[in-house]
Amino acid sequence: MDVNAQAEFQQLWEQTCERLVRYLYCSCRNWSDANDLAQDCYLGALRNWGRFDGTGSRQAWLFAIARNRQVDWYRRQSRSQQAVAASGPASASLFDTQPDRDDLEMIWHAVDNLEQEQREIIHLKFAAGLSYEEIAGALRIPIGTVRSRLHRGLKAVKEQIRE
Amino acid sequence: MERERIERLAMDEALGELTEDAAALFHAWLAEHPQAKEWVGGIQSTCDKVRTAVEQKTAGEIRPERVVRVVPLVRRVQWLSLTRWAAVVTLALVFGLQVGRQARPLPPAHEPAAPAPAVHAQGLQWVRPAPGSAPSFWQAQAVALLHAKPQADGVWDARENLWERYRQRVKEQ
Repeated sequence: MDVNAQAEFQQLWEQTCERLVRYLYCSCRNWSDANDLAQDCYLGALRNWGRFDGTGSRQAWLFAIARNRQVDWYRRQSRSQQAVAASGPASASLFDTQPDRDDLEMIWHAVDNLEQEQREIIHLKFAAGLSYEEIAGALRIPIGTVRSRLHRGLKAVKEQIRE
Repeated sequence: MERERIERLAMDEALGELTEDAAALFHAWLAEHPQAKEWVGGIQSTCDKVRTAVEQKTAGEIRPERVVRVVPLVRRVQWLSLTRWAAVVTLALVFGLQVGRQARPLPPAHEPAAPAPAVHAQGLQWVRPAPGSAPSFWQAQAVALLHAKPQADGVWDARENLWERYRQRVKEQ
């Protein structure tokens, strides 16, 4: 890794660190895991720095790595949850938290209840602060799909709040 | 315009994805269609609520110092790769040396008629051409070097260069 790449990596880290941890926390709901996963993402980015093909932005590329790490983490958690469930009494699902009557909690819970595709885009937009283009790059889908999923997700949240 | 399209434009505007020109056009259109303002207000208000909820819920223990541990690793990785290369080159050298030692040509089956000087006998065995074949340039060079003797004061004669020794050697043969 040459000096320019090191500087570029440092810059990417400074720009995205906080947002990446926020995004990962949306799935983990555990700050320790979110921080560890973020570190894992940066290590992955570091190892594969030269493999970036230049399409889209580095940020989108990093969040694509983060998404893969998140999926792996979720699978591991699901497996361990299954193991616990098999060995003991039924446990609550990962995101099964009782919402307070508080508006904030209600909205947060409404987002959790969305379909995975819509929830993911809401997390990338609001927690990671990515643009439509970057979300499209990270998820490898067209921008139009990003817009429509986000719109459907927000409408669903609106409906849930109203109920 | 249909409701969904208006809502999407409203969402784009709330999320800062609309260009200034597009936003101005959108507002101009809304001014002419006040009935659409309710739809716009609804989706933009949801956008704001979701943004607030996500920001507040994720404003917690972000500890860059935990993630920052990765940055010094950049240098470590660089050093690791340098060390790896150095190890590969060293191994290649050692291997090459071993192979070179073992690949020394076997001595010829028939000893040549003219015995080599005792001091150089060992060295001449493998530079000597096979009987009946002309010596190559480098073989002749090696033989000439081995036969060359220093002067009385221990200094090699600078005038007698390798080419002259080679020619001398060819003449002798």
